[in-house]
Amino acid sequence: MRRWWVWAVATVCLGVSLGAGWYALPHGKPQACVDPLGCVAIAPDGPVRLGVIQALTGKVAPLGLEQLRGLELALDKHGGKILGHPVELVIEDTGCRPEGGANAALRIVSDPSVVAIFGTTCSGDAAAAAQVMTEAGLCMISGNNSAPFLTSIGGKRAPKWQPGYFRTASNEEHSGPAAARYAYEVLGARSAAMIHDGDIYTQGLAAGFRSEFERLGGRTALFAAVDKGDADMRPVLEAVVASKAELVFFPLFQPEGNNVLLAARAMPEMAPLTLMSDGALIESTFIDAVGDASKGMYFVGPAPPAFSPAVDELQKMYRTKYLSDPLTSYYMSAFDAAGILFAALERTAVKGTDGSCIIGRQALRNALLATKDYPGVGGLLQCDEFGDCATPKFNVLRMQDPSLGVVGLAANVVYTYSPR
Amino acid sequence: MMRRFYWYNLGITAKLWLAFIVLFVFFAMASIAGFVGLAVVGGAEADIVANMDIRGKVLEMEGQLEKARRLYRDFIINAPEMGFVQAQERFCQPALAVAARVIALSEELKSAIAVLPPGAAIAKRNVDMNFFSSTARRFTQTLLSENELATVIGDPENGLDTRLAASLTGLSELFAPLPQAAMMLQEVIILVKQYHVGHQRPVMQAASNKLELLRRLVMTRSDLDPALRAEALQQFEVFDKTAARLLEVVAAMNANANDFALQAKAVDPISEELKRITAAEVARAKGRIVWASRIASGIILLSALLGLASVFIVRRMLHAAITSKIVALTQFACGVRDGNLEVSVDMPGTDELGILAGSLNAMHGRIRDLVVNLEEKVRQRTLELAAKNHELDEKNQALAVLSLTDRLTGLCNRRRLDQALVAEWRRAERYGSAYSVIMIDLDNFKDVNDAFGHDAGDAVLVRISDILIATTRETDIVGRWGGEEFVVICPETGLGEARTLAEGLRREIKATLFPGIGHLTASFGVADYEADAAPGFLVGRADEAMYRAKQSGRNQVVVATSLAGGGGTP
Repeated sequence: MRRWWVWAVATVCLGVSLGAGWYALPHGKPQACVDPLGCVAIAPDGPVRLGVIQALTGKVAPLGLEQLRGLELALDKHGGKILGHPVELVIEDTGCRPEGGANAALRIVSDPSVVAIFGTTCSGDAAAAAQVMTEAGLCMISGNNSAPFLTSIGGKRAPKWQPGYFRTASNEEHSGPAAARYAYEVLGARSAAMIHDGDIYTQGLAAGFRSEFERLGGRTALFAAVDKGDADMRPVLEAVVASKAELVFFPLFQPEGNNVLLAARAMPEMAPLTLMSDGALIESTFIDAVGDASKGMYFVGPAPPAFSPAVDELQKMYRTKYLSDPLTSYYMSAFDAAGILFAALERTAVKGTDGSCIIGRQALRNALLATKDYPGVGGLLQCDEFGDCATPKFNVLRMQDPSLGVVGLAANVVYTYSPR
Repeated sequence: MMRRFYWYNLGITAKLWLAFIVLFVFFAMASIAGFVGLAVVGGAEADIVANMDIRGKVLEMEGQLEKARRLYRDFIINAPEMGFVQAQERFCQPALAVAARVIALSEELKSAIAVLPPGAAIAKRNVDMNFFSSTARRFTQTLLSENELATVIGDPENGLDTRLAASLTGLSELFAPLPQAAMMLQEVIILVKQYHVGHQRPVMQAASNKLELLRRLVMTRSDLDPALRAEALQQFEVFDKTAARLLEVVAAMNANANDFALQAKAVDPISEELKRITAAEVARAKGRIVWASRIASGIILLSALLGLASVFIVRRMLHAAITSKIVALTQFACGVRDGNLEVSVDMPGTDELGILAGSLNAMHGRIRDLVVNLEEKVRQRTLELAAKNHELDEKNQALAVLSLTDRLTGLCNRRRLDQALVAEWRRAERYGSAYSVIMIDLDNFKDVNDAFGHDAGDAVLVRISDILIATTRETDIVGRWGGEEFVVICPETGLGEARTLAEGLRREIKATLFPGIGHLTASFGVADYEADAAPGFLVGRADEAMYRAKQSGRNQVVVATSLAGGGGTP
């Protein structure tokens, strides 16, 4: 009798052990998450959710739209799927304001199923959004942000740097200096006024211009600011005139950039001054808005990819999909940013046999950081430790004929600066 | 049919079980419906409470956010008139307290939503709730930032406004003796005041431009006291830095204001949606309660009705299956008891009562068979007895005939002859009618027996009888007197006719050839009634006459001697 009970207990124990073992089997699911920042689990039939934070309203909306289109084109090239899953875009608008970026990022990170963020358009938004994104353990990659404050300045970590932030737009740490060099060396300007709007992008460019211009021997006649939304630019331009600057460098977005230009053209005393802005205004809507007022104006911006079959193919894709010419060339950097993100996701995801997968957030950051020799539209890309994935190269453009639009402007390169 | 058959064949206990099970099922249905209804109502009530709690928190949170915004707005509006410190105490501190309450509420809200079942509509809005909570925290941070910025500007001791005002005041004092400079400074002061109204950077830029002109004036005028110039330049520097800082801070405050607006824009729809969802959830829960109540009531009512119906059905079925059978069996037993053997009980099924009915039917059949057979047997026995009686009568009659007939010849025997003689004698006595007696004795009959045996003798006797019967008249009584003696009683016959008859008989006998024997003869004595005293006397006379005939040589007829003295002749 006692032996019978021993056998019974042993059988029950064996059954329980087998059941527990069977229950513990992954059953086609990937192993549990061990990523220190947590994981995003994607169900077998679930979508890969990507957060998209762009400036989609206001005057900067065309830039944000171009970024979104670059992402869509990259998705199209990927067959509309990532990791074999459909992609769901969670799109938020920033209005190109830092607080907009913060709020948009807050909304995005509130959704734990979002794998990564594609954005932003404006660097100021990025600084606020990246902070929120980093605290949530996500990654963010942009094809448009170029403010040095976001990644590195002088080979050192910039103040607004956040882990997990990457970009394929060139660090404009060298954009301001490129403009300054051209102003000083080519145009012969010895005094310059700089106008920014307090945004880290415009402030960074203005500061970069100032330091390089002064380094070259030039004089900063005025380092002024306007506020976003300011319409009356006459006072600041009066200050410029009063400063006896020979050149005004105003790296502003629309509409402030438009307002400055139009106000300058309306002031006879501003006529002798050279006007120079940045890549934020290398955009067809700006040209359309200001028309001939932009004639003779200079722009400094990242050099677009040189013509190549890849560029040609991407342009054709753009025209086919959107039935129009690109408003800027920044959709290409957006295309590359999306491609780098997709590739990192493919490398990071741990796939289960049932079609599900988990993506470690730190692993994704590491994968993005390890991006090397990625075949971008304009050449091979690799991300450095600060999140810069593009090789900086800047052109200074002169608006010769506004009727030729962005294409005509981009073709009129008067100066090229490659710091590396 | 099968069910009916099955029901009929079920045992009584099983039927009772089944009936009680059916009733129990309806009872259980009603109970389960009640329990489920209560559970649904309980769950719905819990949902209502939870959703009302959430809705209350959302409303409170929304109200607190709005209150904080309003307090902040009041602070901005009232600070210039009320004074920064007083305004901060009256508006900013409460606003911060409200913001802290908002944070606590957001956490409470998250906790309240976390305990909701996963299927709840509001639980699916975790993304919105996360955003709602994080925005609440951001609101607080923004408010704190705004408070700090406001302090930077409005601090009465070292705020930017104070410093700006101080620099302008200093400049005013410096330029008081210089009308042109004082006028220009006045323009700056007006612009600064204008700036404080609208916080438009171009206005402050214009003020700075004016001040720059003033600076140049100061720098270019050689008649100015160097100390005053130095003091003025220092004040210009203070103004520039303060104004620049003020513009930055105001820009930051504008950004915060924009942040507030964005937060409100983002959160308000969520709170509206949460309110809508909670209201919908409450409505849904109420609807659930109504439906659960209706369904439970309906089921309970239905169960009650079905139970009631099943009570009647079960009663009917049990009555049909048990009571009616018992009644039928009782009636059957009473009928049998009352002697009605034609009754029977028709009870299908193989339940206990069916088996009992079968047994009673069998028993009743047996009893009826016993009763019916008894009567038949009695009847048969009666018939048999009647037949036997009839037979006995016939036998008695035959016996009576036999008692009056000679067994060998079939003629009247001696007894019958005596009766006839008496009867005739009495009739003659009474009516005076005549009658005669002829005594016949075969001659030498002993020789026949001796010579031919008794069988031959018997045959002779039978033959003689036939002759006597054939020859005598129908009214004559012929009998064997004994041995080879015969008597013929001739009613209403006188002696003459008797003598003739006797003669005829004698001749007939004599003429008859007896096979194997030959001819025989007989002697006859004839006597008639002559008021004999008794019948024996007449017979004695005939017998005496016959003996005389014997003696006279046989084969002759002798008439008996008359009582009156005459003698007979052959």
